[in-house]
Amino acid sequence: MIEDIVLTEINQDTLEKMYHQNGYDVMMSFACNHELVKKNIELLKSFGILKIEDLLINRSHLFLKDNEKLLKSFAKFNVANLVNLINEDYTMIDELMDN
Amino acid sequence: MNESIVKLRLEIEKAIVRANKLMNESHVIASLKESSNLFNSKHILSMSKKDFDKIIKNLKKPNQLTENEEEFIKSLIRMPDEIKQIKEILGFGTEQVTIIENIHSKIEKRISSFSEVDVLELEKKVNEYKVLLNKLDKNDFNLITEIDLIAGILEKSKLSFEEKINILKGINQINASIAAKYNISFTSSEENIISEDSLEETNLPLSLLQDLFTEFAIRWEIEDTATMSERAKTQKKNKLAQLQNKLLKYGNYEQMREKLQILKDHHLDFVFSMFEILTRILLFTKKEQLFQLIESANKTGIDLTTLVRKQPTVLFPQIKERKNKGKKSPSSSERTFYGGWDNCINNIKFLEENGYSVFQVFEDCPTFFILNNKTIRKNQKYLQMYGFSLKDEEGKTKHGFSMLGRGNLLKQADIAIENGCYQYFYKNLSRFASDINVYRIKLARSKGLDDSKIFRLFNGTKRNGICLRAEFYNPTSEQFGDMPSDTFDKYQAVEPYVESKEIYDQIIANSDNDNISEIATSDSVIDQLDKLYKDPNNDLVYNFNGIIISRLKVLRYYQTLMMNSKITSSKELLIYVITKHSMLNMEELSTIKQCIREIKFGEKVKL
Repeated sequence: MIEDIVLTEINQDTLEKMYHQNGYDVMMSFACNHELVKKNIELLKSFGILKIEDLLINRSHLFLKDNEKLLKSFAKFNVANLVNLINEDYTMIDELMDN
Repeated sequence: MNESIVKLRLEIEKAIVRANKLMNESHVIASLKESSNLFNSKHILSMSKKDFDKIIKNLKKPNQLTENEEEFIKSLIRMPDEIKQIKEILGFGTEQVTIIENIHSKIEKRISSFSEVDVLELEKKVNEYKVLLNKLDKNDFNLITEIDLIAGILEKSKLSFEEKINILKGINQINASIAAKYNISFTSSEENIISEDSLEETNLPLSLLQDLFTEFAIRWEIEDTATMSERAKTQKKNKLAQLQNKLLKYGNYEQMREKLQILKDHHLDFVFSMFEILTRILLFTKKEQLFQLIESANKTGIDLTTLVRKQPTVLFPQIKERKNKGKKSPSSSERTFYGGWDNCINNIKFLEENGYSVFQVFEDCPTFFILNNKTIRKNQKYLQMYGFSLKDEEGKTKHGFSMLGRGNLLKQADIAIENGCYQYFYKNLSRFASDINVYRIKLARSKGLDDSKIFRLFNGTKRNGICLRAEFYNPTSEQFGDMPSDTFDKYQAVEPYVESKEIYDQIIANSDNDNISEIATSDSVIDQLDKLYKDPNNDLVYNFNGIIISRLKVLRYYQTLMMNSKITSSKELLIYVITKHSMLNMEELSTIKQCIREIKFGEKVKL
């Protein structure tokens, strides 16, 4: 249920921004997939990506992708370079998705 | 085109001709009034050849000039200035005075035979006719809502009753096909949404509901309480009780049972533990809607289970619920909207209609299916307008469909064109309309930075791309300014003085500004602009001696303003639409103003 969104462990301020940007239906998707969302957040963090909050708000669909597919996307790149770029500009994550 | 619509088209064209004739006649009468004031023995010698020509040309039956009268006027035209001076002293003879009086009387009769018309109102009408013509010609997007206008045209026409009825049926057909295509309801957008208030009370016995839960192994209780705080536990319990009460109040046993069976049969029974979702399905979703979703997923190769797992709200239609904020008064409640079924079904339809890979979009962007369908369709129209495509050169579906849910695409496209990064966005569509401050790029180029300092190459395994350097997308930039207004300051941008700016801004703010029809394209001012400044190789661009302005921006805003009956075309208006959202320094603004000087205003409305 929508209350389960708290289980994603995303802070309240970001949650509110996400709700504002994405609406109820997407937030419900997050709530119902909180384990997947958490896993994907951990995966991105493990690569050294810092702009998680921007990504959650503006590229929410990323966190609903299968964890394995997300992991495989990184395999196509020089991860260190890509992560640096993403940390400078979160929209660079689109490169990951576009390839 | 339907035969009855062809007839309507003809009637509209006749109405435009009538309106233009009236407007032209109004101009003629206005100029004759000026001549009439001078046409007497005292002032006639101060009249110019142009004044006399107007009189000869515009006095028609039954007030046309006799040969004698025309010859008298022509003699005045031919008369040398020295003779005029003498004539002024000597005055006219009796016979000549009679001729002057007769001509004056004819001018007056001609003036009084014309009933005054409101030219501005007529211009507005002509614009409305043109919008309607445009809709009839090549419209598959906008509903034809000008029913009063059509009724007015038909009333004045000589068409038979049957022909008029067929025309109205034809309009209905066009609207019905647009409505079917875009799943538009002819009710207001809110009426299309199911309200909790519209549910019928059933007062289902608790035992029946419990039977259902038992039959489908639904455990209506919270799990994993170990990690929960007492407060969270209580909140969850209360919520469950609230949902169960709704089921008891409005639930229909047979219908709920059928829906639970459908969900179970299609391996969607994992939603049985998503109580909020389940309650809405049981109360609001029709079984036919569940089947339609299942069929759509099967047909397009989407894995239904994954779709529902990722987007569980696709299982129920748009609903509005009242959320009580307190018990003070009914006004203290607020309405909240939920439900992704309609958008999901229509977004799948949208992908299929346009030949996009439903599967790829599903893999790339699961949330695409619950984005607002109307926004998506509008945005695709906007992208096409500006030459962007969601398919690559080989016709394959591009990535980045989440972009279709964003706002302000038209403005962003204009800014991209004017600041030299249209190509960048064309190649990186998923980044289009993101919150990059694009003005920084123009500022950088003006400081002499070449593209290698603005963009950098990016190597992927499948393709090499270009991306902006950090300075251009970071939220802060000391060198190029954080917000666009900072960048404007650093560029020393100036805004032209436009007296009616506030009025123009208001009109623009109240419109979508997304229509370009004959009102703009047939306008003489736009025609002149196109001839003089449209880039011969690029329809998207006006090149004012090196200053690049988005042509579609000019056309869109010009059309919106000209649709307003109180607005007329003027140099000020043109400056406003050309410079809106543009970052221009004094020199650039002067160049544009210099170019605009060549444009002639006040031309008649073209047919």
